[in-house]
Amino acid sequence: MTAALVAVFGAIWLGAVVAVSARDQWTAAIGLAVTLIAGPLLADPLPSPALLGALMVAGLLAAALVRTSAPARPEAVGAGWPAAALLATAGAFAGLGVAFAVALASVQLGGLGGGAFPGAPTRDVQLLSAEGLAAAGAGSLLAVSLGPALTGRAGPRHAAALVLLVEAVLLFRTAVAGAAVELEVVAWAALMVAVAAAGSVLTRLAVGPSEEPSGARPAEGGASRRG
Amino acid sequence: MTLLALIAVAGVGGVASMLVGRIRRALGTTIGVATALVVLILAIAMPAEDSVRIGASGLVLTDLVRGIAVVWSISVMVLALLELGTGTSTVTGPALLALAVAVAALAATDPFTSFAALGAGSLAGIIVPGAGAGPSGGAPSVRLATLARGSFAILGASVLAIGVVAWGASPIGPIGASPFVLSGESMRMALGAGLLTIVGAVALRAGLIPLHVWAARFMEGVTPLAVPAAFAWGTAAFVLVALAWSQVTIGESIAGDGLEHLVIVGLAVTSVAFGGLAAMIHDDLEHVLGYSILQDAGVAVLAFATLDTEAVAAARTWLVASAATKTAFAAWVAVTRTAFAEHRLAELGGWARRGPILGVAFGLTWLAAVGIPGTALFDARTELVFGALPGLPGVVVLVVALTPIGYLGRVAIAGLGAPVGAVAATPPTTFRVPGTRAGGWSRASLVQVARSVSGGVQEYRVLLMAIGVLVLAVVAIVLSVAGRLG
Repeated sequence: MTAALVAVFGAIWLGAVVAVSARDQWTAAIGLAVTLIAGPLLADPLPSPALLGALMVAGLLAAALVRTSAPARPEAVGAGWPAAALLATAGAFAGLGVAFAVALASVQLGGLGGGAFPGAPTRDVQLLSAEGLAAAGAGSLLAVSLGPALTGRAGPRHAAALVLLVEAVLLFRTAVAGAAVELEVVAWAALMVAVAAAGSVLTRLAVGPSEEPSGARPAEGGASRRG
Repeated sequence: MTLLALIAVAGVGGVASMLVGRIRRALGTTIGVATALVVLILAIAMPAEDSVRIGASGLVLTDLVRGIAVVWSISVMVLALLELGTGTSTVTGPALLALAVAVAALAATDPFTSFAALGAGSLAGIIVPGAGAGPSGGAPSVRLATLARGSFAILGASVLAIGVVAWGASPIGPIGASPFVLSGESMRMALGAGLLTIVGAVALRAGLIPLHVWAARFMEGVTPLAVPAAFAWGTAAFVLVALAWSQVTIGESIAGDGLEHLVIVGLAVTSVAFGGLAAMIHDDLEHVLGYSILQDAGVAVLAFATLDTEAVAAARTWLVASAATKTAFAAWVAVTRTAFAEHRLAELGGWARRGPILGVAFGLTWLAAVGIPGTALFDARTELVFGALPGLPGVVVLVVALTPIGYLGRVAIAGLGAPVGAVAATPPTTFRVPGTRAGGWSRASLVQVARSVSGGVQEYRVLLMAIGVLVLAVVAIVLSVAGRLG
């Protein structure tokens, strides 16, 4: 199970790095979709198929919304993928640290599954548990998305960063407070789609009417615009 | 189950109104009005013990939820009709969507759901009117920057709130941990930090001073009809959910004293004082509206400084009554601007003489905003202020919180003066009997009557809009006088 969870975390990490650093809009959108689809899988036990489906469909819809508003030209990338990868890795370690501290405090101070006295651990603290890896994922996403979301110009990367920020908070919530319940999943799905739609509208405003978004249907007889 | 139906109808109707309104403006608004009417009927007809269980959480109907659904749906109906008159199509859909998520958030039994839903609904309330704003919304680059900041503020508020709620439910938070953990001094500090974080989320969402720049730019750029859903009601729902969580998780022992108390009171008083001052010195009506809403939010935040039962009850009354009041004020601003094509006070001399119904509506709104001792809104404001600041400081803050007497009084005085400029050139808005009269019933006369009605609506557009504002003002005064929500 641990290997599968680590693989899911790897997909989240990789998708996030690609989503914020790829020059090609299609590649960035695929990276975003990978992260958003893998996010709900970072849980043990897995949520019910209905909840998984709701979150994954919302993730795909969010990625599609970000993609459809992207301009045809490749977007300039700030620091590139090496910087994004380093940031995501640093964020993952920070997330693991938070998860470890929460688990340790929980055990030592008598929280969930803990003993009654401080300094008397009653069970091992597992670093690579679903909660630990969810916190690591949250840290990765937060690290790569906060910069573009706060300071970036409106555009597909800004929109992707906003969506990644939502996914980061969902993972953090799962890591420290357990899996989301049914009604909450609907609200999360709505928030993800709303954020993507907002980012998409901002991108369209930034691109302006003169430049057709690359996701738009090409004119009759015109060449398909990819990239 | 009726509660779920209400949320579904409002949500689907809001989305349909937005989508259809982009192609056929009038049809989109009609869908919005019909949806608001259905929501109103459902809100009134809901059984008192209505609740829905969905897995491990659920939705529970309370008096507060019903009250907000009733008042907000009436407001949306009138705002939609006013939107037809002002020529915009960006208000009704987002307002219905915001109504759906606010009802869901306030009825939900877990705060994660509430904050996530409020984040989703609030984004629509900011983006749709902001993106649809015309040239009055400022240069495209300014509008884009405002919307980008606004989106981040709305999202940031929800993210902060969800983060602190997650901490609260975690093994090291006050709900997830054992009583042993709660007794420590470190937990006291953690609870204080949690309280300040949730207040920070409220400040971000409400655009409290000094986080107000995006909110002020937004409100001056969009139609005033979009402001109630985005700020007055949207903020009210967020504050109510945050208060409910804080009361359960943090408790009054943390809020009542210490550094947290000082910081919260400082933040609230800053918004009350500077919001009132800014509303007093600004000349354009949109700024007066915007800063008055920020001032109201500042008063509500005082509830976080005590978190006792009385303060939270007063905050409920205050938030709902002041949201209704600001809805009426926003409608008045929109109609006044449509009637006289002016929005600066210096150019609006004599507006009440030219529009007596608008004058009566404004008078009621003014009375509702200020209140008189013994009425629900006035007493709620007094309780909030003296709960957080007893003694002389409370008296000073209460006097400052009564600046609506001044900034709305300024508008009233201008209205009673001699008509100037565009106002003088506008004929008085009174009814005249139209000259069309059918000489007998036939198919042709029916067409004639229909044309006459359509022409009458066009001719008396401003007058009918003023009546709409009057309806909202009556709702506001009723809530201000008797809208106690324990």
